[in-house]
Amino acid sequence: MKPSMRIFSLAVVAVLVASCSDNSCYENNSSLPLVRFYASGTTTMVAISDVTIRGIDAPGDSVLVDGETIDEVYLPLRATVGTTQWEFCYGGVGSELVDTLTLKYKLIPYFASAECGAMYNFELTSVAMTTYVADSVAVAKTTIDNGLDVAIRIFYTANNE
Amino acid sequence: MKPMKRIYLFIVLIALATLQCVAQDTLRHVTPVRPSTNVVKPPPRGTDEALIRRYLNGDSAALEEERRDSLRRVYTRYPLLTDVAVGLNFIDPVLMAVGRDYASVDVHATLNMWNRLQPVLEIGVGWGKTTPEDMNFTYRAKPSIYGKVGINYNFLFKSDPKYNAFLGVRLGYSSFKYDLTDANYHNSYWDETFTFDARGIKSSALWGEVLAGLRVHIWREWSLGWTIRYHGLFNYSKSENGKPWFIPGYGPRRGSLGFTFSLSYTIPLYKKHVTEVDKKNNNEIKSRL
Repeated sequence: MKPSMRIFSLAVVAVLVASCSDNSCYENNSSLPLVRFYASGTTTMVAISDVTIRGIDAPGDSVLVDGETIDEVYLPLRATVGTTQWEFCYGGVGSELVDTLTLKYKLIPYFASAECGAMYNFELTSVAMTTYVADSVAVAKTTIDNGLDVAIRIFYTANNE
Repeated sequence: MKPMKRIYLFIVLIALATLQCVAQDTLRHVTPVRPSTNVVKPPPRGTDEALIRRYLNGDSAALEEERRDSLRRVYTRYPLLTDVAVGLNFIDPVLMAVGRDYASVDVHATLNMWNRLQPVLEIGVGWGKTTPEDMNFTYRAKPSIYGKVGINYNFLFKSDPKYNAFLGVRLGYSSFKYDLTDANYHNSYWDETFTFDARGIKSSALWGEVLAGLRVHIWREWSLGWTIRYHGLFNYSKSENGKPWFIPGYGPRRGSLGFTFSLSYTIPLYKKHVTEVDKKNNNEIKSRL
């Protein structure tokens, strides 16, 4: 074998050994529905001020969002039952202005990738929300996975202050 | 002859001679030739005397015949069926023994046509298992068959068929199954921990490859070769349980580079006839070089 061919062979092997692959997860490590708030009848996002969000029957009555101003939130779903309920309190804990979001779904074992791991996906069968403060709710995608796109839209009458 | 007739004949001859001179002079002016092009190059050494005579006599096809003859003396033209090589790509199990999580092994057959075009068929088995650190699952790719068809182009077609340097393309397909086991999931907000399994998940994939490679003779009919391949998926099937991590014959779904290392056995398909004339001509060429 000519010396030039030997050198070329070694160079190719070196490139291969040195090459590296991307081992990052660019999505979520679990399936979480992203909920965003919009002005009614529009696609304009709005921020809801002084809102407290808690899961009904959550251990220790733990609070997910505590009196903050937010325009979107990830709501983790229960994997031992097929229903999860979330309470939206407007104006702090103890306020009578409360809406309840109810999600019903089927659980599907899912392998996202070697980088993101294994998780349950949730196939939504029913989405309902009380409308004391919120105007309406809409489903953007019925299969909740580890993607970063919005799953549920909640519409409010915008305050122009 | 009467005097008048002599004078008349003399005038005609003078006139003809004058006209000829004028015509030649005119020709010289109508077709000027630059001095640098007006050089007669000697024929190549070894050109047959008979060919030179034919060319000087106006037979222009003699030159083309001479060019073909000289090319034939420089390198051998190989027949349609030059040889067939059967090989085994064995690098992946070696890499698996030192830590890689997956492997594909294949046997391949290469038909060498004119020592230039080389159709190839590859059939193999791929498998893998991984339990990544800091992750929550075990992925097991069951041993599954894959196949590839393609063609190489050998750039060393003028050389001995024992040495190939080639570019090639492949089309690959595999249908396979995999298991997802020991998947554990913890939801910190709801304080829930659970495990699940999903077994026998089916998938298939179709992909293309472009490659470059070398094959060199080592001993008798045996040779070693390698290829480096860039591949891309045309299509793969997805289930509700996810996307495959490993595709037999392709590698990790998100990967784009592959490497093979093969041991091959070559079966020649023609008998090389070397005549005394060819031997003499080859010796002459070697002595000139």
